[in-house]
Amino acid sequence: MMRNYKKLLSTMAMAGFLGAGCLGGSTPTPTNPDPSNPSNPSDPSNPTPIANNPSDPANGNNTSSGGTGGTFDHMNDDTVDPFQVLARIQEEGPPEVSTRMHSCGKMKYATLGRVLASMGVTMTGNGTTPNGLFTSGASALGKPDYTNRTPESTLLSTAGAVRLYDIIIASAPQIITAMPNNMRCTVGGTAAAMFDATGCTMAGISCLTGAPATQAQKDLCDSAVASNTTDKVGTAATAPTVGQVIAVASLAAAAHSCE
Amino acid sequence: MRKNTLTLAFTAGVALLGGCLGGSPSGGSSTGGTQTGGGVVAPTDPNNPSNPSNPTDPNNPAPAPKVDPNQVNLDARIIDYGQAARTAAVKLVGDLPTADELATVKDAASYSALVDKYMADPRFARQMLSFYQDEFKAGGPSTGTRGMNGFLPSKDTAPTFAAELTVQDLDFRGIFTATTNTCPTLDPATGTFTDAVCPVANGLTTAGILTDEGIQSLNFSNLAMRRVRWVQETFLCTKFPAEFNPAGGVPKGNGTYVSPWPFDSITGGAGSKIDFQDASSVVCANCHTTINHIAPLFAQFDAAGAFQTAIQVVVPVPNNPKATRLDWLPATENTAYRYQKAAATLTELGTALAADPATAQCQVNRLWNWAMDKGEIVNDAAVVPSSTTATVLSAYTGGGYKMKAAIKATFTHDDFVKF
Repeated sequence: MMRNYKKLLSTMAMAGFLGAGCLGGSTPTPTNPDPSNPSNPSDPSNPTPIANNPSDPANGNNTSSGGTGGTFDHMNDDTVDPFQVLARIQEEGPPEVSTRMHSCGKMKYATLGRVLASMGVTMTGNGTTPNGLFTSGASALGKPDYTNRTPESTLLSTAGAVRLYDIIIASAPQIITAMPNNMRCTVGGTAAAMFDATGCTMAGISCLTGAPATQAQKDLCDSAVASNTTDKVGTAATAPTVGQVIAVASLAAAAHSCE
Repeated sequence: MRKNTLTLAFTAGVALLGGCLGGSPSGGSSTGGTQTGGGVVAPTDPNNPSNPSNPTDPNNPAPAPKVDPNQVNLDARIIDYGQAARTAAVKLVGDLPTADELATVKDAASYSALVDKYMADPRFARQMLSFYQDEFKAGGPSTGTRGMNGFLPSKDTAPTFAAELTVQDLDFRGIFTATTNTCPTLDPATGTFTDAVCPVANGLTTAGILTDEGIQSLNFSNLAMRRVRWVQETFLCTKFPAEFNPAGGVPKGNGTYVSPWPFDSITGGAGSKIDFQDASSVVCANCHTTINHIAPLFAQFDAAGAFQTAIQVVVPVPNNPKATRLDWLPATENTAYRYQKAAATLTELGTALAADPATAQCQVNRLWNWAMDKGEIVNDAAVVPSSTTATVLSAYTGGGYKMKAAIKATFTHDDFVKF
């Protein structure tokens, strides 16, 4: 255990080395004092860069790179903040413990789209439709940008969580309507319905979350349904009530915040 | 600023050592008695009135053993195959499990069978492609027309090849050593891979994805440094510096030189375009002794990732001249993977990477972090102790470096099915 901590410490400390501006230590010697040379030593307004010159305020004291007098910046912004790591360890426990327990990782963007579709949500449309919110929220939801060497985000940001909940709230009426015809949620050929005369069904909750339903989930769901049994979301006679929409959205949002 | 960063790192390190490691892992205290092997304090002598925790004194009972909250959290988990099935489905096939699938999961055997089913599902190939796109930070189709200005190669070939090795249950070390068919395509609807040979020219010999033009193009940079860093962070799971002198460091300039390489084994000093031997702020050579012995191997790939007969990368000094071999290494030095591990070609570099146990551990740890929803192992410092993944590593290496075996071992691991 101690050895692993030393390894971590070593990694953290040496992260600074990686970001260090080794190239900044050189004093390039231009071979051609050409006025077009941006560091023409004959031009007093554009002197030869002297990296790590402590008298250069752009360099700062013991700076490694990034000053105007430097020749290269090692992109030091990608180093890990050791205090963030410390805070994480204090909250989650040492890696020997925390790595053995599941974290709450963000559902991948493409997976979220498939999950919505598998719950009967229409994945076409723009604006405030579920698909419109899903599509326009790609960045907030952490979609990868491989062109810029950025992988899919592993965590849900605040903006991403808000957008996820917006999408699920907008999707809830469709999910309720589609569930009886949702082949993913049939057991032995028998379809599931989200609600029955007594409130939420266990099969419906399981269909919604993708995991076996618990009594606590059913109790929460029933409570939400009972909160408003009169107002409807939509004009059709079969439109779900506000309470039903809140129930479905609450359960789905909680379930799909984590992968 | 960098010095401050180092100070912060070491300060945090001290805090870690002092704050987190101060107590024994099992919650024992170092006061009040003899430390036992289990970390519980044993009273020394019940007949000794000086013993402050004399258990025979009802007014001064022995303190209850401290409870390790970390162990409590671990012990509080319970096996939940239903939840495990959900997260396995989301990761392995990219969708929620069906109600019928959930109904079949009753115990370890039925859950294990479900994992097997998912790994045989056509959607598994798509999910593996996504996994490797994130690992490689690379993806996307080619743009433009090959041979024309502005052409950029596909960034999907390397992750697709990795996915193919995984799905077809092949030796994953081929990622470094395969000599042909390293540019396959994937039909995501059917999960079918179609082999294809990567473009080679100018005497290039294919070495897994080390010669992949998409990877080379994506990581094109001054002196090919980004390409070396990509290999290090992707397949070794650590940032530079990568090598440490077992004899310890020596003072150098304003820092400490820790690399095992001779300090002057890289370019530096008067007359060099870049002084890699500079130690005025930090010791550049700590990283660059390793980097500079590898970078020339990647220098002949141009911005579009095509291998050329001459060096294509430039030096970041005024006028950006094309680099020469002497910009990395003195004339007497040869390229190498590590100190005393020569690598004259990319093929030899691939062989060295395949033989390095750290690459196997890294791959397993990345897999673990994905399964357990942890952060990026390098960027987020989401380190995984080797003790956590010991059985997964054993399944991977013991089974011929097959990723499917590692995935199965991960998704059926005792820690994975507990919530």
